[in-house]
Amino acid sequence: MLNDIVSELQQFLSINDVTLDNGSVVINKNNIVRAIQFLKNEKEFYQLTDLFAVDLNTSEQRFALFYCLLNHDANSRITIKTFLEDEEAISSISGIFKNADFYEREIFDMFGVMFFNHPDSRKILTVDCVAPMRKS
Amino acid sequence: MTFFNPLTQFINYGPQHPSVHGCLRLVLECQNENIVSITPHIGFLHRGIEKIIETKTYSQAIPYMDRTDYVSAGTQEHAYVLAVEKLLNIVPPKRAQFIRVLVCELSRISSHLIHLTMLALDSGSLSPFLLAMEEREKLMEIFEAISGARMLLNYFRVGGVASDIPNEVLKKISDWMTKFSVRLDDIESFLTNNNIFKSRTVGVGIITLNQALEFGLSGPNLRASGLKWDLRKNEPYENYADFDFEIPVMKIGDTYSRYLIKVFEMRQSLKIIQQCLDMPSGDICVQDLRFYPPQKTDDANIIYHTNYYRHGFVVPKGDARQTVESPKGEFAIHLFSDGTEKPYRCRIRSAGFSVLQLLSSIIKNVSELPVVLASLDLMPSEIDR
Repeated sequence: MLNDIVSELQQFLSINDVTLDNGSVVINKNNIVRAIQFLKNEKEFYQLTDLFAVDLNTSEQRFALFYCLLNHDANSRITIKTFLEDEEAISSISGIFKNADFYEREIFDMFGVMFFNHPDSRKILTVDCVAPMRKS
Repeated sequence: MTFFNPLTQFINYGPQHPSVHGCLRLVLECQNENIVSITPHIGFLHRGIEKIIETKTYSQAIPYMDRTDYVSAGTQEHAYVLAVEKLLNIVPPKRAQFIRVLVCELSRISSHLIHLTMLALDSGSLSPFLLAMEEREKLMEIFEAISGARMLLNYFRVGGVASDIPNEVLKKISDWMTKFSVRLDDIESFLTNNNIFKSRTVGVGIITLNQALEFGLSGPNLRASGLKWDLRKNEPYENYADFDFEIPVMKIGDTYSRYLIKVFEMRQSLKIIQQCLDMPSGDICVQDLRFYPPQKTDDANIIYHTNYYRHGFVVPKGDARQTVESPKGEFAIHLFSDGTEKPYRCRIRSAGFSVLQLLSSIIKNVSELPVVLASLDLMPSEIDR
């Protein structure tokens, strides 16, 4: 199931941009919007269940972003992973999934990761902290 | 930014408003009685639990799970210990699984009772509150007999549970159940066919299935909108696959159907508890001294205590995600381990967080706001974490 989706994504994007790593699909950050659009429209992943970041705190890959999608009909979940460098921004997916809005605001608040084309880019949980979830 | 409309009023709803049940601030943009938009402001109960857990060992983090959603502590702890067990690749013994399911379902009833009474209160009915709180008090006594605490149980352990349930407590639960099912009929008799309650809830705050999926709704809210989706059945965890129960589904997705779903679910939870009561005898935790929680008889053994509670145990490198069906919806823990005794990162996915964004699209009138808000079963402490 997951392998089929990965091969279809590789055809849709390009073979180098999509890899399978430990049960989650790693996608290049420039293609994240197209990939999620594809999964929603073609593969019926109609719900975004979670979107969060992890501070890896390594020099080449600073943050990992996890997009968790759910297909109720096929009873399958998929986790999309993308890597960001420090001070790097990524396109917002709030145009595809409306509830991504708050999740992206939370990532911005907690890690300081910026999102392009975000409708309401404010802090959400804290008022005066600066990226409290960052390591070091 | 639109031009200033002289008819537009901005109203602060909360954070201390009695009908938001916690600390949640909504800024309403109103024109007379009509709501143009609702902007939720959250974070009043943000305690940084995700960050705190990074500094605690795996077993020290369990009490923090209680504090996410304090009216149904069992299910939150359950998600966390299951995630750690996934990383460690251990399975708790049969009796521990039955005890966990029992506590989870009791928590579910406790949470649904709170939700039901708050919905009744916000729609102007006080009697269900008094009846349900009495039942909930008895439920608290049961929790106290099981774990020693009334609300914040701290009862689940990695690999099992903290202590065994004595047979007298099982007898107490079974006595309570027979009385409760009658009491539930009483509570229902105040609401289900009550014309005043129906006029305030039927057709109010309708969430279509498309909206529910778009905004990431889960649990009872999603089932009220017409999708038969319950993680206990669809992605069975623990030993839920062995139990016989049904998943109630409604079609319309209004406040009244969300209320009915909760009532049906409580009855199904009672059915599960009934099946739990004749649990197999056996051990309550995996036979491994790293995980076996110190019992009361072990009090003298200080080294054992220190090892268990202070030093903890090493968890292999990797990540694991566990999703459970909490009373509010889908609750998930995503743990990242770097091979030490403390988690590298613990992501808590709360059910209510994405529901907040829906408010603007379903609530169109100030008078229906408290009722719809209560029906969505938002828990600010879980949303803010």
